[in-house]
Amino acid sequence: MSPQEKLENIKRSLGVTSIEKFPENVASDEVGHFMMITEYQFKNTNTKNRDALTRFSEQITTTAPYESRNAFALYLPKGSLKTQYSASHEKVDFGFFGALLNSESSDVLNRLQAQLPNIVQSDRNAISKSFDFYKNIATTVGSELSPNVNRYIDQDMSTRMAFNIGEAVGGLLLSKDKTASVASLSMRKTGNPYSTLVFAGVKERRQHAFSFDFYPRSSLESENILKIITKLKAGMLPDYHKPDVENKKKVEKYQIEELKTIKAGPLTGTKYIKTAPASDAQTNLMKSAFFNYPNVYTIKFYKTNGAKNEFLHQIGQSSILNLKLSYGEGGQQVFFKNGAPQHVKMDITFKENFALSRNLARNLEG
Amino acid sequence: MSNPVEKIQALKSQGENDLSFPSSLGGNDEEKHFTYILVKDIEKGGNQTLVGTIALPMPLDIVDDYKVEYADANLGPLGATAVGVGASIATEVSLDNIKKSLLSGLGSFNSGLLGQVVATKAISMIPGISTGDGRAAAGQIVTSATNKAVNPYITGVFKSVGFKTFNFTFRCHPRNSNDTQNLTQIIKFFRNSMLPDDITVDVDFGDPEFTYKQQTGLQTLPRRFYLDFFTSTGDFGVEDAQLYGSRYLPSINDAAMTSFSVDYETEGAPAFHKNSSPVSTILNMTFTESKIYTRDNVRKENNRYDIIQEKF
Repeated sequence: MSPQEKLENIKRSLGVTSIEKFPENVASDEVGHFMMITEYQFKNTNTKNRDALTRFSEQITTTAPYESRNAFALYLPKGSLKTQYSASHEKVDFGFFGALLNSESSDVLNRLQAQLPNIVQSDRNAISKSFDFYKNIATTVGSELSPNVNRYIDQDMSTRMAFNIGEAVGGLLLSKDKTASVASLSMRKTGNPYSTLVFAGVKERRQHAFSFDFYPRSSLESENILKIITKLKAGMLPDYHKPDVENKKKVEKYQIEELKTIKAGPLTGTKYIKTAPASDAQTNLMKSAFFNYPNVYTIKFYKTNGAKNEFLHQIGQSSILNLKLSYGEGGQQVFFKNGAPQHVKMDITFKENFALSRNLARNLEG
Repeated sequence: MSNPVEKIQALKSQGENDLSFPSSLGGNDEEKHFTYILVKDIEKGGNQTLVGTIALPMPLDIVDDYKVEYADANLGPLGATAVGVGASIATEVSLDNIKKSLLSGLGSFNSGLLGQVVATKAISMIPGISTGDGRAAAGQIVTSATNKAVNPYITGVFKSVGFKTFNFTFRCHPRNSNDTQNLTQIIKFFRNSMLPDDITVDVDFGDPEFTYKQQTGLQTLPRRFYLDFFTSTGDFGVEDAQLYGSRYLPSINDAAMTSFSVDYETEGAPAFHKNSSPVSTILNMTFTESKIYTRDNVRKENNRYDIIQEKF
């Protein structure tokens, strides 16, 4: 399969009209492994049949309410093939009663949940049923906890009281923070904090940074770089609704060769530019008070046969946080004859719009 | 007139404040690429008037940095549902749809989620648990006991785009006394343009000896700067009275100069020519654009340079 055919297939699968690429021979044998950045724009869709939570998830995790706008086939830059997964766990000191609730709350929850359907169903007695439900919470919790509370009173209460006395004695001589140490050392006992590691959620959204070094080898490649940069810039930035007058505004362009020549005075022979000032109707218009959201992106890695590389991670719906373009190298600016820079460095950072769960990761990466 | 710097100067001439360094800029192949800076005064009503132009060689680095700020929103199931309901209402604003969307939102809460929330509430009500960080502890107890955690529905919410900031360093080595004079003038012009000026009024008692300038306590605003880079003779023009340069490099518009440093001691130790002028001078300047850069700016650039044909 030729590189053109591979890209053509990808183009069809993504539903885009064109693919911007760098280098020109991307997807060929020389640049067989490559990445594809696809840009999506939000569109209002009728999803009345979805429940609200699913609708929210679809907006941030899939490309369902979006339409593809642009695609970029780029070589794999150094350091690009890495990702990170994180899950926060926190140490929590439950203490005796916390630990007790921890061990019993599963049963408490089951008993409470069994009563929930009656509460959720709306009928004339809803208020009285809710009242009964809250009354039952106290009874349920009390009955579940009572055996262990009784054991605590029988076995550990006296030690706790002695510990408190030890602390009080220490408090007579030492500062407050040292009283627990005095009680602990004198009794050769210390309180069990019942420490537990508890899952605290996936708090970090994945971030992926790429650093492309573009060294164009032809004017076509220079032009491709310019197109890639312009499209990425346009997609990552917010837009606002423009009044019709501004949309119709004509951009007048002048080339230096086309200009008129001054025929008299000290600048005789100099070409000058006729300017086209904006009309009052154009200059007096305020911009819209609302921004439209920037576009979102997905990134996929492809292998030599033009299929997705199943050995690598995939990047889900993301926003571009940063696009940094550096022209020149080593403190020098070098340009081709047509004025295009010989080197452009593009640093781009994507951040996923959702925190990963096992389900999402499986959908995304298999 | 084949020198591109002279061409642009002729177009934008302001007389005494048309400065360039070095004098050979634009004259040979090595110095064909240059930076052109327009300096404008801000007048009443926000209008701007050109007060001077400066042509310098290319800076050491040109960095064009675009940043978009997103905030982490910890919506939780309720917030996520609200967004889902809101999205549904936004597609069709009618009473019927609002009712349906709200019902669909309520339907999103199943007994599992409700049970988890109720259990957390119940446990937080127990004396001793509900004190201090008890709310967190209650949630953690339920998480640990049920092996289920409530999804925080963390998502990115678009916040803003900042002003674009540019930093440029120009290394200047004067090659004759004319260059030295020009460089000194350029430095003074930059300095004067980035600083405000005290507004004074002449107080005249009829006797010239008693005439003096009185401070009003007011200051004029610093000037604004427009920078463009020129890398090819056929690549510049004007749009709405605004000069523009290379299609490959950024254009800096309506920018304030927020810092300007001059370093005369750049080759290890101070060194001077016979006329006591420094052998080398490094100018470093930071500009911040006064308007945010949006997709509309990209659209205008694209119209100007015909980069991509598709509408966006």
